[in-house]
Order: sequence, then structure tokens, then C-alpha cells
Amino acid sequence: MNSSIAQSRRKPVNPLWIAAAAVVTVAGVVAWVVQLTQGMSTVSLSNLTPWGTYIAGFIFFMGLSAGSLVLSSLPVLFDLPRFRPYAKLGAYIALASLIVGGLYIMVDIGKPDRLWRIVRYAHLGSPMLWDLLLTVAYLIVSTVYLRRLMQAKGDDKGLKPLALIVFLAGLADGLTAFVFATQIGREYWYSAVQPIAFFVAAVASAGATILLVMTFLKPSGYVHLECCDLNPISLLTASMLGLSLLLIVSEMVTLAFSRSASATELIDLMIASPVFWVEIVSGVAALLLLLIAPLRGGGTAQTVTSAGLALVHLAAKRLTFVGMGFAVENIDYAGVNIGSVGAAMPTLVEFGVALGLLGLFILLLTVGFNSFQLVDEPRG
Amino acid sequence: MNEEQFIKSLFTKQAETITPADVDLWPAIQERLKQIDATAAAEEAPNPDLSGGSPSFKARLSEVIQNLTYSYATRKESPMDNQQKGSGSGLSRRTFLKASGAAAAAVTIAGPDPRTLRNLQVIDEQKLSASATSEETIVATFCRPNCNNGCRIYAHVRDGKVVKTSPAPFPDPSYNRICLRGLTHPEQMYSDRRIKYPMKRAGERGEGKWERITWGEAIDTIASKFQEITEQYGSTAVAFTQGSGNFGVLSATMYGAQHRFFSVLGSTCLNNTLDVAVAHGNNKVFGPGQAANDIADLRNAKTIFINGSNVTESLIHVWHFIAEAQEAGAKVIVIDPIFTTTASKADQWVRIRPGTDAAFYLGMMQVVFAEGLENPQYIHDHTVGPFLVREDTKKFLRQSDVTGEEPETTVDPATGAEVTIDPYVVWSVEDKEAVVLAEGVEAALTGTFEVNGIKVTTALDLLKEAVAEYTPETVEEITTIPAQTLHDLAVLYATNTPSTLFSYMGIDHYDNGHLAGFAQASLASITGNIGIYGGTINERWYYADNLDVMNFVFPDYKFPRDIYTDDLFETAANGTIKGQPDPIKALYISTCNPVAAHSDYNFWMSTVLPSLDFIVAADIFMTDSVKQADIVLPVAHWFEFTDMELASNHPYIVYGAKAVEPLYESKSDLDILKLLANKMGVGQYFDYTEDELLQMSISPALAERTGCSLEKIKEDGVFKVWYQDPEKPNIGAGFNGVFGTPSGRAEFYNENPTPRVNSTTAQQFDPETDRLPHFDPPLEVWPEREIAKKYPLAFFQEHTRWRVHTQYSEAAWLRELDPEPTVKMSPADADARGISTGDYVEIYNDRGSCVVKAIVSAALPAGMVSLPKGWLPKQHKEGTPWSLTHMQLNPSSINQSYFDVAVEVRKWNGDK
Amino acid sequence: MAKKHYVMVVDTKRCIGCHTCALACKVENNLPDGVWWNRTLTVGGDEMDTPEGEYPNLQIGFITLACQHCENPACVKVCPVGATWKDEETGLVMQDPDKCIGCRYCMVACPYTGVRQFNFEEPQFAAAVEVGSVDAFNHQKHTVEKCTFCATRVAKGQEPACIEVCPARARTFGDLNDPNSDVSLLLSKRPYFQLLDEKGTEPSVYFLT
Ligand SMILES: Nc1nc2c(c(=O)[nH]1)N[C@H]1C(S)=C(S)[C@@H](COP(=O)(O)OP(=O)(O)OC[C@H]3O[C@@H](n4cnc5c(=O)[nH]c(N)nc54)[C@H](O)[C@@H]3O)O[C@H]1N2
Ligand SMILES: Nc1nc2c(c(=O)[nH]1)N[C@H]1C(S)=C(S)[C@@H](COP(=O)(O)OP(=O)(O)OC[C@H]3O[C@@H](n4cnc5c(=O)[nH]c(N)nc54)[C@H](O)[C@@H]3O)O[C@H]1N2
Ligand code: SF4
Ligand code: SF4
Ligand code: SF4
Ligand code: SF4
Ligand code: SF4
Ligand SMILES: [Mo]
Repeated sequence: MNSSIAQSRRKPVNPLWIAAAAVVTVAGVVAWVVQLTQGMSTVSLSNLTPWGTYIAGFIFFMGLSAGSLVLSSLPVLFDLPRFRPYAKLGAYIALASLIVGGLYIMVDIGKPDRLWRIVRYAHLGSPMLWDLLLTVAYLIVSTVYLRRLMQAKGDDKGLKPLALIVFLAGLADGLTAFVFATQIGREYWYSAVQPIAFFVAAVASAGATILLVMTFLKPSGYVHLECCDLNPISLLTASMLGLSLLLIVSEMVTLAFSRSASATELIDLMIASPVFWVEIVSGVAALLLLLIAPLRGGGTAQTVTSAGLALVHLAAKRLTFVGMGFAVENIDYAGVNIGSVGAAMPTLVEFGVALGLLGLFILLLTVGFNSFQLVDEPRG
Repeated sequence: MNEEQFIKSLFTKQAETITPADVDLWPAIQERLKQIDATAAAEEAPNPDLSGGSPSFKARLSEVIQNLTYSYATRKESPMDNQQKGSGSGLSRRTFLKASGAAAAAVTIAGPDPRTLRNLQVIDEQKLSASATSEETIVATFCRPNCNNGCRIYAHVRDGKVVKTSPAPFPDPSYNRICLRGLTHPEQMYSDRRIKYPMKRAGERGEGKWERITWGEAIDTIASKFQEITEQYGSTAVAFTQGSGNFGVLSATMYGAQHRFFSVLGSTCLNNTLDVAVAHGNNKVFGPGQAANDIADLRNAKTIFINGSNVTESLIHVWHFIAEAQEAGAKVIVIDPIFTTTASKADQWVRIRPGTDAAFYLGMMQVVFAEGLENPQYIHDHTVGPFLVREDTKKFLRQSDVTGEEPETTVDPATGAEVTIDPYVVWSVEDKEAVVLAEGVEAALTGTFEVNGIKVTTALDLLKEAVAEYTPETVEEITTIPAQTLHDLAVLYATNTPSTLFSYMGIDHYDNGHLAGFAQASLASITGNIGIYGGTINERWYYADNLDVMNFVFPDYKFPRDIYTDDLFETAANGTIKGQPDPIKALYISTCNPVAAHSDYNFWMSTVLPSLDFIVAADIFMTDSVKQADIVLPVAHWFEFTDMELASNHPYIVYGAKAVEPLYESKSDLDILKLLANKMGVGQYFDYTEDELLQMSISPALAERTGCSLEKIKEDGVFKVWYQDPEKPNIGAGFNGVFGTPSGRAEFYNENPTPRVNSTTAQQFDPETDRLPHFDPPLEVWPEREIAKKYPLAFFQEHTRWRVHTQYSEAAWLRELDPEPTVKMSPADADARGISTGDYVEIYNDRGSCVVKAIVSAALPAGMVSLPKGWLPKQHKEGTPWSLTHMQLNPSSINQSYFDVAVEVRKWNGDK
Repeated sequence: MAKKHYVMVVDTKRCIGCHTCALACKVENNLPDGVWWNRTLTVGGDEMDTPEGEYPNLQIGFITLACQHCENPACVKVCPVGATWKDEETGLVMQDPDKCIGCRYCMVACPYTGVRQFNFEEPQFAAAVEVGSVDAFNHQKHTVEKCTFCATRVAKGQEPACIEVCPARARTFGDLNDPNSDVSLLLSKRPYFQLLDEKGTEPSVYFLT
């Protein structure tokens, strides 16, 4: 009996979940093989919309990784005991999402077999390369940090310098934004607000993910939650969500006031886009739920719903962001059809690949939970 | 000179040099001609055209000459009004298109525009061949569909395959040319769409079931069928189409080797009745022949009216000459119902109601007379203006009318033929009496007189009287062109000279097209804007004036018998032509796609084809016409055999060498004809090499005038055809004020109006209606017509860049750009019918219907739709546009009126 | 050798929107189905060959759109592997299909809609023969391609394929660094605009108005 309790403590996730995640991952690999052999015409991209779901996935997971690093480093850096048990978890999530985020790039490029060229012919001027370097840096930092956290005994003094680096690395998520924000050709992206918006969304996604994971792990006893333990994360997530929504509003207002033909067109297109409304509605709902959660004692269902809605909001936000970059053609005169404009409904293959990577993410997490003790006993 | 030599010389003379004296000699050779006809035509099928007296001989002769010059000659011009001007060049839609870098030093840089310089740069052949690698050879050949442009092009050959085409140089580089279609040949040549083997029908006609056969079997079948039909019905029961798919001498059905073949057989030539109305109108004034100057002469014009031609689509290589004229300061006026790209480039665009251009020109003349802007000296010296028209007979007054004596006759010492001498009489201003027209006589241009008891009026007065009713206000009612605009345009035309009326088929394809030609030619005559540098009408189209027609097309005086599409329709329906039993039982279709390119598809399918016992089709591709054949012959692509160019709008003969071997089992038309000729016992007419035949085809007149020979043509690849001056653009009708009419003058009054040709419909011709320029409303597209109440939309079919008739209709690269049949309609018409862009719509009338995609375009006026022509019937979702047209020909012009067609459009629910 | 700056000058007053230059490019470079390095666009209504406005104030014009061979090319900056770069001697923006990893970042970066195109599949060719120049571009699946200013022709002293075919004589190509070149002369005589010049890309294609 005891040993079974011990086991259930060590392996908080039902293996069926793991198996399911593995199946989804394998399906994703199959979809990717289809994409590679039959060509990328099997995904919903076109010459006028060269990036789509995968890049949105990349942004999302890079953000998640960065946000998780921030959340993971904060309690160490500033001695916040109520957050401290989750530092390892944050670092692990960061690592997993980093791998998955990188793979989103891998599945997006046409010639993955030539990926090595990025290293061989590294062209330093490319923001893509900055991002690559950043990813590598995250990878190293979060691995080292996670190791140190796993080994850590006693107080966190010795960890602080490293935590600072991790924190700064997390802040640097804004850099990912530069991949987009430097693009003069894309009116929607070409804005100094983007790095901030990226960061805000990154922290929100990390908060929501941690909320969700913790709530999910709670029944197994893997984590020990008191009634209000999640409140700070809820509030942090809520404030970031709020900021994120505010930024959308300010963005729309700026666009509306610029009154250029393409800005007006952009607003019209956003308003016409269902994904945008998903983003708004889920964002507002998540925000309200998160704000009232602490007042009402934060029931599980409520947490799951609010965190889930927040993640839906953030995913939709990334899709909108990428899509809107291509929604308005700079030169839209009538001519031969060389592809459709704006984001299209993802294809089956695309869904497969994207879900596969999501599956992989869950796989990495669940296997991680079952293999490591990623949540510390609360101290003191 | 014996009669044979005489006939020959007459036939080979350039149209311009045919004088009244020649005409008077005709009776002398009439006898001879009868004999010729008797041998040429089968006994069972007397040729009514040729059996009559001298007038029908004249008709026959003028017909031959007209056919020779196959006058694509008449173009129309189109004006517009300043307030209506669309400034097409201002690219306004987005701010970034604003001119940003206007150079500080604008205007002042001396020297010509470098693009004009480009016209002076010969394509550097050395550079070109340097670019060709050892694996690549370049063969000079030419592109040859009926687009008028006849581009000399290089075929680049690698590994025995044509891998690309590029423009080949002309001595005058402003004629260097190629277009989007000419670039598609590598795809076309090697496409699976080609007919690969001879085939015979295996199912019902049109079912598309075929059995591959050998060339031997194909030739045997055709020869025995032709012989069988000839034995039963006479040789004229075998007919061939006059198509325009290939303008090579050794291919063309029109005055090419195929014509030769069927001349020898004494078959029937099914003449096209297309593109000839305006030419007929011009010819009424100028006489048969080429009215127009070279297109390069457009640069010499100060005013250019473009009526009914979308130059930038249909005459793509004419455009830069107009652009250069415009850059040099010429005023370009476009008269067109539609805001075309051409219109957008003009200094002024004027919208006109479809089918009313004759009224427009008449109004121009009215203003010219009212304002005294005509050219009296020119009218006096070079037109029939001073001639006196008898009130009783409507003929010109002649010496014998005054003297009351029979006219003198004399014998031409050269020919031994009898010539009547009966000079024209005019009213001498000085002597106040009728005198014989002679040098130094000042003739009255105006006045009614009595001479010898005969009341006469000057022809000029009759013209003035005829145009008097066409005041700007009346013309506004007819054409919708504001009266003031018309007035200003008339003043511009008459004063900012020389002026050219560049009109084309937008005015031809209406029932009254010849009247527009008649009126524009008259307008040009009274202002002297004809036969001079910068002053002419229409586009010059070189045709058989380069050909030794008698030797090459009609060897040994063997003629085919000519019929016209209306004749074919009549005999298909009831076995008679003009009341005489005259069956057509076999049709050889070649370089032609009558089912998909000619009027009244339904009648072709329901009546014409079933009336035929035997149909042969020779083509490169499986067209809708080929699909109806009993025997199908695979023809080689143009670059797979040697040929020489007959006809185009540049003044050059072009030689095209074989670039690659014919693919599959295909053969050139000439090789097919050789096989057939041998089998049918007339092999001697084809027992020549390609070069021998080509040499034979060069007209002696041309050779004499210019020193042209095949050797020379081959040496340079091209040879310039010139008339007056080898260094200058050629001048058409009226050079030095001389015309090919009986009087040698511009005849805006016709004393002997005749229909263009003597076909079935011509029997209804009434000469009294055809003496002076006037306006008749169009047949269908006229608000007051009964049919227009039911079908209120004018059905126009634009000749767009995407095809040449039905050629290139399946060219894959072009279909990427222009994927499916469409119709353009005005926002007003679309709204009224609940139609928006992208909807499938049905165009219909009592005759037929078709389904195409709608495009709402503000370029269209309400009441007119425009369907780009040339799609194959099978490419439509349902029906075919060619079922909407009719074969109602005007008795004077005998011309198909594709645009004089009333239709209605509704949303299509067929997809449901 | 002095550095050159090859530019293209297109006269919008002469251009009749005939697509011949687009076709010439298609053939010369053996472009796969659906790929058009050079496109003719209607500056007018929403559909090809339709005007904007209402009678009598109608307007229609044309531009041709291909890579602008920018002096300050956005595409070159973003390419992580240097598969697209600017040739310093000629100013041409080059593209190497063997190096390209198919990330399409250059397509994202280039402000000129659609001038860069991606082979979403193994290239298909309507023509049954390999058409065009012997050294036509090597089209590869999942890589990006674009107008090369006919670099291989220019290297041999020839004009680009789209220049020599223009029926309207609206296109001119040459070295802007040579004050006597046709392009320099034209640009000194005529007002012109460049596409999206506010984006700072300094395009090498000029449109005369
Ligand atoms: N690419 C291409 N070129 C071609 C051909 C082709 O099929 N494809 N065909 C060749 C041949 S054989 C021919 S006959 C020519 C035809 O050449 P065009 O005559 O130039 O061509 P269309 O398109 O028939 O019509 C010309 C213009 O006439 C206008 N129009 C229509 N009705 C009227 C009218 O009542 N009055 C006036 N003033 N204008 C009117 C139309 O709006 C249009 O702009 O093109 C030749 N060139
Ligand atoms: N409704 C409507 N009908 C029209 C017009 C219109 O405006 N509206 N326009 C009319 C006008 S103006 C014209 S000129 C006519 C043109 O009418 P056609 O001359 O009948 O038309 P094309 O489509 O050029 O047909 C030419 C055929 O010749 C074939 N061909 C090409 N080269 C060769 C060769 O070397 N040998 C052989 N044996 N065959 C070859 C081609 O493949 C094609 O099938 O159409 C007319 N029809
Ligand atoms: S289709 Fe006509 S214009 Fe085009 S290349 Fe051939 S001959 Fe020239
Ligand atoms: S070929 Fe010349 S006229 Fe035709 S679209 Fe191109 S630039 Fe314009
Ligand atoms: S137009 Fe676009 S692809 Fe061409 S050089 Fe400029 S930025 Fe690069
Ligand atoms: S798609 Fe190719 S050329 Fe474009 S940025 Fe990526 S690697 Fe460079
Ligand atoms: S320069 Fe060459 S590659 Fe560029 S558009 Fe012209 S033909 Fe195409
Ligand atoms: Mo025609």
C-alpha cells in the first residue's frame, strides 16, 4: 500500500495520458512526413501568406518558455516562498516548451535537411539568427538552472546569480518579437509595442500553464496546494492578460487614428476574423474569472476554465498576430493569382503537425512529472 | 500581247495601277474568260458569277482583286470629348504611386527618347549567337496566326527541340516584334493536345471516337471520296474553307498552296465573309486595293482617330507607333463605346453608341462643309466632286450625253482590244458650259445645270445634300456623342492635319459596317487626308499584292468556283444556290475553325455539317471543327517546315526555315497536298520543291519594281515590299491623288453601285440605296428594333491578347493568366440583374446561349456586354457564345455581323 | 571595373498591360506552373483589365511587378543562411536555390507583394520540354525564388528577357551609374515613381509617369 502511495506520488500521471500524448506525437510525425513528401501545398500557406500556424506555435512556445523562466527565477531572486515550490516546475516547462518551440521552426521550413546551414552560413544580420542564438542560450541556461534547482539544498543564495541570468533571459523574449517587429513590409507587426506585448503574453501564458498543470497534478498529491496558493499566479496572469487586452485596444486605436487605407483595411479584416473574436472573448472571460477566483476561493473547475481560456486567448492572439501580418497586401492590384491572401483554415496535415507538437509538449511534461519530482515541499 | 498574257498581266497588276483604260478593255477579253470558266467549272455546275456579260466579268475581276487584297484594310477611328476624358496614365489608387522623383532637369536633355533609339538598334545578332551555346541553334522563322502582326521570330533549338522563341530583327527595328502568344510555342508544340496520327471516325460524327489509320489509307479515302463526289455531282461539290490559321504561302487556304490545289481540282472555294464590310465601303470610294499607308506612317500624322479598334489588345504591335506619334505631339482620339486600354491612353476618349459610326462620320462631314473646312482644290483635282450627275439616270454626264453621238471606240495597239472613249464632262466656271474634263479646266464644284436638256448636279452638291441632315444635334441623338464634341472633333480632324482615321473591326462587324467605311472614305476625300504621308484610313495589311496569283494560285487558268457563307447555308438547307441546284457534298477544313469561329454555330451543327457526305479536317490541334470530321489529318507545327509569309501589317516578306522535324506522324500542309495531288492525278502541279513554289509565288510586278527574288529573301531572311520609296512608309490608296476607281478619282458618289460579291444575299441588293454615304441603323442592336426590346444588350466579342481567334485557346501558360470564359458588363446592367463579379451567368437569345463568368466593369456602357472571343465551345460550362450569332449578311457588304447581335443576360442556376 | 547599378525603367504611359514581359520571364527562366517572377498588374478596378471610377471619370493603368533589386533589400537582411544576397559589382539581388532552407523569411520581409515565390511542391512544368535559357534557374521544391534580373544574360552582355520583348517598348534596362545610359537619360527627362519608396528599400525599378 505504502509503496503504491509512494509510486503514485512519484508517478502522478496516468500512463494512459502519456500513451495518448505519444500517439498524438507519432501522428504528428506522420503528418510531417506527408508534408515533406507531398509538399507544403498540403498546408494552408501561400505565396501571399508564407507563415501561419507553425510560426504562431513557435511564438507561443517561445513565449511560454520565456514566461516560465521568469516565473521560475522570480522566487529565487526575490525570496518568494509561496512561489518557490514551483521554480523547478517553471524551469522544466521552459525547457520542454523551448524544445517544442524550436521544432515548430523545424516543421515550418521547407528544407529541414539544410538546417545545419544556419550554423554553417550563419548570417548575423538576420533576426532569425538572433532568435536561434536566443533559443540556444535559453536551452543552456534553463538546463543548467534546472540541474542546479534539482541539486539545490538549503537556501537559494548560491542560485541567485544564475536566477538573475535566467530572469534576464526570460525578459529577452522580446527579442523574438524583433523577428516580426523589424519587418517594414508588414504594417501590423512593424511597431515598437510588439516586444512589450510579446513579454506580457509570455508571462501570461506561463502563468496560465502553471495554473493548469498544478490543478491537474493536485489530485495525485504530487503538489501540495493550500486553498489560496494559486492566487498570486492567478493575479499575475490576470494582470498580464489585462495588459495584453489593453495593448490590443491601444493597437486598434492607433490603427484607427493613422487612417491610412491599409490600417482601415486591417481593422476591418480583424473585426471580420473569427479568430480575433475568439481572442477577445476568451481573453475577457479569462480575465474576469481569474479576478474573481481569489475572492471566491478558487475552485478547481474555475481555475481550469480560466487558465484554459487564457491559453486559448493567447494561442488565438498568436494566430491573429501572424495572420494579420499578411492580411493586407502592400500592392494589391489585380493580376494573375499567385496565392490567397490572409490566413486560411489550417489543413488536416497542418493540424496534425501542430497537434503532434502539442502532444510532444504534453508528453515531455507528463514523462517529466512521472520521472522527476519537479515540485518541492513547501518550506518552513 | 495575246489574250492569255493580257489576262495574266491584268491579274498581276498592282491594284493601284489599274486604270480606267484597263477597265474599258474588259469586254475584249470577256470571251476568253468564259472559256476559262468553262474549263474551270464543271459542266453540271455552271458558274452563274461568270456566265454573264461584261458587268459580271467586271464583278468577277473586282472580286478577284478585292479578294487578293483581302482588305483588312478598313479601320475606323474614334474620337471622344474632353470633359469625358479618362486620364488613364495617372495611377492614383495608392499614394505610393505618386511621382516621387520627378527629375530636376526635366525636359532639357537633348536628343531623342532612348526608347525611340531602341527602334534604331538592330538586335545584335552576334550577341545573340554568342549567347547560344554549342548545344543551341537559332533558326529564323515566323509566327503566323491571323493576328495581323506576322512576327519574324527566332526559334531556339536545343536537342532537336524548340525551347524558346525570341524576336528576330527586321531591317527597320521598329518592326521587331513578338507577343505573349508567340512566346508560348515551346509549350504548344510539345503538348499532348497535338493531333499525332491520321485518324478516321469510329463513332458518330462529333462523338470523339477515332481509329488510327495510315497516311496511305487516309489519302486513298480522301481521293476516292472526292472522285466519287465529283463523278456524281461535279467538281464543285467538293469545297474547301478559306481560313486564316496560317498565313504561310505553302499552307494558307487563302491564296496559298491549298488554294492552288483546289483551283486545279475545280473545287468550290468557300469564301469567308468576314472583315470585309468597311473595306467594301472604302473601296466604293477609292476603288479596290489597299486603302491604308504603312503603320509606320502613323508617326507622320498630327491627328489620329481610332474608331473601333482596341489597338493595345488586337493590334499590339501597332501601338508603339501611335505612342511615338503621341509623344511627338500628335492628338490621339479614341471613339469607342468601351473605355479600353487604348482609350485610356488617348488624348480624348469619346463614347459612342454601338453600330453608329457611319452617322458619326456623316456628322463630321456636315460640320466640315458647314464650317467651310473642306479642301476645294483636292476635291476639284482628285475626287468626283466636280462631276455632273444626271438626274434621270444617276450616272455621270459624259461626252456622248452632250454630243448625242455614240462614243468613239479605238483599238488598243498593245492588246488589240476595243476601247470605248467617252470622257467625263464638267461645268466650266470660265465658259459657263459643260466641257470635257481636261487639264486646265476649272470645273464648278457646286451647282445644278441643264445640259442638252439633261438636268445635272455636281456630285459634291449631292454629297453635301446627303450629309446635310446629319447635324451635330441629329448625330448626338443617333450616337450619343455631344453635338459640341462632334463639332470640335470635326474641326480638329480637318485642321490639325495630316489626319489619319485608324478604324478597324469594331465598326466592321455590324450590318451597316460598309456605310461607316463609305462615310469615312468620303470624309478623308473631301479633306484630302488620303494618299499622303500621315493622312490615310485603316491599317495596311499586306496580302496577295506580293503574290503571283495567276501562276501560283490559279495555274493554267484553273480557278476554283467561289461561293460565300450565305451560299453554303442555302445549299445546305435546300441544295440550291441562287435558285440553281448546286450541292456541296464534301468539305476540306484546314487553317480554319468554322464551327468555333464563324457565325451561327447552331446552323453549322444542325444543317451544314449533316448536309455533307464527307468532311476532312487538317489541323495541328483537336478543335471543335476537327471533332466533326470523318478523316483527321495531323498537321505539322509552323516551326516544323519551311514557308514564307504572305500577309501581315508590316511591309516585309519573311522567310521561315524549318527549325525541327515534324513530330509524330504529322506533315506540313504542302506535303499532305503533294500526296493528295499525286493520288488524284494532278501531281504535276506540286512536283516542285518548297523553294521552287515560293519563287513561283513572288509577283512579277513586285520583282520588277523592287528586285525581289527568293534568293534575296533568303539571304536576309526578309525583304521589304515597297511601292513609292524603299526608304519611306508605303502609301496606300490615293497616292499622288490617283485612285483605282473607274474615274481614277475618289468616288464618294457611285454611279454604278454593286454589291461586294455576287452571293445569294446580293440578289436583294438595291443600287439606289447605295450611291451616296448615309446611315442605316444596325440590324439588331438598335433601341427601336423589335428584337432589342426582348434582348436589350449589344453582344460584343473583343479580340483580346489571350488568343488569336481560337488559336492559343488551350495554351497552358496563357490559361494560367486567363483561366476561363468571361463576359464583362456594366455596373448598371449587372445591378439590374442582380449579378456580381464571379457569378456564372447565362447569355442568351432566341438562337442560343452560353454560360460564362461575369466580370462587372465600369469600362462598359449600359446596354453592351463584351465577351472575349476565341474560347472553344468545349471550354464553356454550358452552351457556346457562337450559337448566339447569326448569318444575316448585308446585301451590299456580304459580311458577317458578329457584333450586331442582341442578347440578354441572367444569373445562371445550373450549378444548383 | 567601376561598380554598376543595374536598374529597370518601365514607362507606365506606354505599358499596355499585355503580359508579354511576364511570359518572356516565364519561358526564359523555365518557371514552374503557377510561378510568375514578373507579373502585370492592373492599376484600376478589382479585376484584371477593369478600370476604377465611374463614367466619365474612368482610369486604368498598369505596372509590372517583379523583384525590385533594392539597394537596401529587406530580404537579404533576414535570410539566416545568406541564400539571397546583394552582388556588390552589379547591384543585383541574387538568389541561390541550393542554399535556401525554405524558411520563407525573405518573403515575409519583402514589402513587394508576391515577388518572391515558394515552390510548395516538386515543381511541375506545363511544357514537356525544358524551356528557356540553358542556364535557366534550378527550381527546387520547398525553396524560394524570384526575378534574378536575368543575371546570366546580363553577365553575357544581353538585356533581360522581359526587356527585348516588350511590344510597347516600355521597358528599359541599364546601368544607372553610367550617366549616358538609356536609363539615366530617361530618368533625367521624365517624372517617375518607385514602388513603396517610403519603406526605405531603395528599389531599382523605376516607373515613368
Ligand atoms: N490578340 C488578338 N489579336 C487579334 C485577333 C485576335 O483574335 N486576337 N484577331 C485579329 C483579327 S482577324 C481582327 S478582325 C482584328 C480585330 O481588331 P479590332 O477591331 O481592334 O478588335 P475588336 O476587339 O473586335 O474591337 C475593337 C474595338 O471596337 C469597339 N467597338 C465595338 N463596337 C463599336 C462601334 O460600334 N463603334 C466603335 N467606334 N467602336 C466599337 C470595341 O469596344 C473595341 O474596343 O484583330 C486582329 N488581332
Ligand atoms: N462570334 C464571333 N466570331 C468571329 C469573330 C468575332 O469577333 N465574333 N471574328 C471573326 C474574325 S474577324 C475572323 S478573322 C475569324 C477567324 O476565323 P478562323 O480563321 O476560322 O479562326 P482560327 O481560330 O484562327 O482558326 C484557325 C485554325 O487553323 C489551325 N491551323 C493553324 N495553323 C495551321 C496550319 O499550318 N495548317 C492547318 N491545316 N491548320 C492550321 C488552327 O489550329 C485553328 O484551328 O473569326 C471570326 N469569327
Ligand atoms: S501571335 Fe501574332 S503578335 Fe503574337 S508573336 Fe505570333 S504573330 Fe506576333
Ligand atoms: S511587355 Fe511592356 S507593355 Fe506589355 S505588360 Fe510588359 S511592360 Fe507593359
Ligand atoms: S524587392 Fe523584395 S525581394 Fe527584391 S530585393 Fe527588394 S526586398 Fe528583396
Ligand atoms: S527562404 Fe531561403 S532565401 Fe528566403 S530567407 Fe529563408 S533561406 Fe533565405
Ligand atoms: S529581369 Fe529576367 S528574371 Fe527578372 S522579370 Fe525580367 S525576365 Fe524575369
Ligand atoms: Mo478578322
